[in-house]
Amino acid sequence: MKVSEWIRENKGAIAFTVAVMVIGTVAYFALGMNIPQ
Amino acid sequence: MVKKVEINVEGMHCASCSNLITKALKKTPGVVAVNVNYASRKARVEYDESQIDEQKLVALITSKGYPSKIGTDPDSERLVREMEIVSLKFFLVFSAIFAIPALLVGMVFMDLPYRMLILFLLATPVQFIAGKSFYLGAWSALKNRTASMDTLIAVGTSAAYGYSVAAILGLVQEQYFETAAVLITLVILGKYLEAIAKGRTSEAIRKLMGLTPKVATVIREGREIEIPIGDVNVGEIVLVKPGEKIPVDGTVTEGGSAVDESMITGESIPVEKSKGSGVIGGTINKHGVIRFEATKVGGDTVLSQIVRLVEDAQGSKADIQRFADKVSGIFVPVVICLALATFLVWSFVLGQSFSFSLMVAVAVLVVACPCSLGLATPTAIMVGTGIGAQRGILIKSAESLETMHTINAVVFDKTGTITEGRPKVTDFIPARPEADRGLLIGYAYAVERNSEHPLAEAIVEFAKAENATHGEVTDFEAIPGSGVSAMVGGRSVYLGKPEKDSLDANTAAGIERLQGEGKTAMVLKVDGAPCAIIAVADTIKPTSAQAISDLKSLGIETWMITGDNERTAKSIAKTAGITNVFAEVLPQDKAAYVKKLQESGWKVVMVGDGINDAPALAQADIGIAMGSGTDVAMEAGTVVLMRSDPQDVARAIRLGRKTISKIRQNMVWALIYNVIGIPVAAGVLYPAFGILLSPIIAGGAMAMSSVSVVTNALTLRWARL
Repeated sequence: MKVSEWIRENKGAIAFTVAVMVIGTVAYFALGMNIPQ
Repeated sequence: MVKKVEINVEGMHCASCSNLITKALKKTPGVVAVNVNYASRKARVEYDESQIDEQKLVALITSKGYPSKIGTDPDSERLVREMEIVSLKFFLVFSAIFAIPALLVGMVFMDLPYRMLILFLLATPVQFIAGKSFYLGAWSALKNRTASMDTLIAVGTSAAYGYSVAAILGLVQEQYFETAAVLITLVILGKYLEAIAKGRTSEAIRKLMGLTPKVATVIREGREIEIPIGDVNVGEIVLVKPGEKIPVDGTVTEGGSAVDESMITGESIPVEKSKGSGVIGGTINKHGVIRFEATKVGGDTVLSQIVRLVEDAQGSKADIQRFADKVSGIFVPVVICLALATFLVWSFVLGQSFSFSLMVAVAVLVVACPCSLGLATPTAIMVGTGIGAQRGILIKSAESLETMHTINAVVFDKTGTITEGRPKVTDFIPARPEADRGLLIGYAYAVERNSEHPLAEAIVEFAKAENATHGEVTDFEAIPGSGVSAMVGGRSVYLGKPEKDSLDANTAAGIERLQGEGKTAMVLKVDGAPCAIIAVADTIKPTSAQAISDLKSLGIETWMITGDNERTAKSIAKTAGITNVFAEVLPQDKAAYVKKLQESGWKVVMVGDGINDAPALAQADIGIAMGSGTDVAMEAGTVVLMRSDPQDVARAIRLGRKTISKIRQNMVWALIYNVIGIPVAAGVLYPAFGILLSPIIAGGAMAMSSVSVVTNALTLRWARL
């Protein structure tokens, strides 16, 4: 199995993960969690 | 009509998955019996073909989330296994790349800027990409209104991950991103190691299947043609050159060679083959060129039968496994309830924080291991039957392996088991020491070569071995119940029963002694004068005495059963070291004698050749058939010894004992692991000793638990039998 095949097989999970990461990061900064409290 | 089908099932992650498939199939109208083996990934289904067909069964299993197909093609099976291992390796490397930095950031670099965000970015790919299979498994279990090991991992890691997401949004203080990521990585590591080890458990059968060559050279219209093995027809002449594998079963018609049959019979010495000898497909022709007529092809060959027998045995369930199935059937829901109870008790009764209670509940979810329970028995059975097959001991079912360890009596049918099963000349005693031995043997050879009596065959074989020659034979006459006579080179020769009144004292004494040893004594007369005594007997196999002594060392009592008269029987039994004898027993009464022993409390193994003792083999707790791969033996026994070596009886019993002991070790380990692991994870030791199992340690322990069960089963491969 090649890496490209593995990526193709898991593209749904990868897309979902990227979406979660983007939303999470945006929320993190939007909520001001980067500012030390 | 009830039919049987074997379906290869992919995507089973644990014993709960096999329970789920079993339940679904059992509910289906037309399904008579189901056996789903998680270790071998096979579902054996008996079904009524008037109500359902194979394709519908496959579709049903696939619809439950387990892609399946019919058949046992070894190459595609190997490919599927290899693909699974490679895929798990990808997931393992992928999750380790993220989980190790997550662990360092979570545990070591506490003051890192954007620490929470970094942890979130490292844990998320592990949670949803590497952890995808757990969510899918949990979802398919949920759809079938059940829960599996995937449910435990999915719920446990989601709780840790979800709580941590709440932390980056400022809703709670603590985060457990690294816990979720490391847990998934450890579980995948466990699955990867388990897949490698499980592949080894079925190595024996794959080796057997791989013995068949792909092509055969046949003679068609006088020409040598290479054709695929599936195209060889019964009756065709097949050519095998030195070093080549014999493609199908047959009888040699031309040429001679030595054939290495060790892969089938376990016998290491090559067997000489000449015209008329039988050859077995899958064995290796050593040095000569042979042509043989194919007698069995395709699924009828001895090798195919062996593979089928071993597969059936590996797919069968031992009684002890039914208990494991029951436990693992209710295991996951019970663990989920326990985890919930743990959370509630710590949180509301003992007043601990939400995050503390949550982590204890997660530890309970991930420490529980239904897999080790599910793998304990089938892996040991697969390794046990597999190594048996490699050593010429075919065990037809898991139940016979299980019964084997309770055996305390072995009854041997004499002919063909303790003895060679064909008479041989044991003594040739000339009346006068100065007589021409070669000439006398020549006379015996001359009169017997025309006879069809079984004893004549022994004398002819003996004469040939002594390089005897014979003169012209005339006036041959077979005297029923007495012997044979003829004129040989102008002299009157008689060979047959001794008539005592016509013998001198010396000859009569010699005959008396030989008869006392259980031999058939004949007298050779030339021109009316007794010239020699020839004794013929069914000789004891060279390994019989050692076999009996091996059984005694295992604490097993031995009997010999035979139709011979008491004196002959006792003499043979004494030489073999057997003290208990049933003599003058008719073939049809042998089963009654076995039953009598069973009624006296013995657990009996009956050893026979399957020809005239099939009822006794069936009556015994275990019937062991010796038959060098003959159809009769394969049918008759629950255990078949391919080598016909009586020492293999003790080896089979030792194998049974060792396999059962492995199963017990595995079951005890799996039970103790869960019985201790779950309460410790739930924090029972925390109030008194401050001991609490972190979810990471719990997950690691779970992964190693199933790996250790499979590895323990694999150690059977080095067992001394």
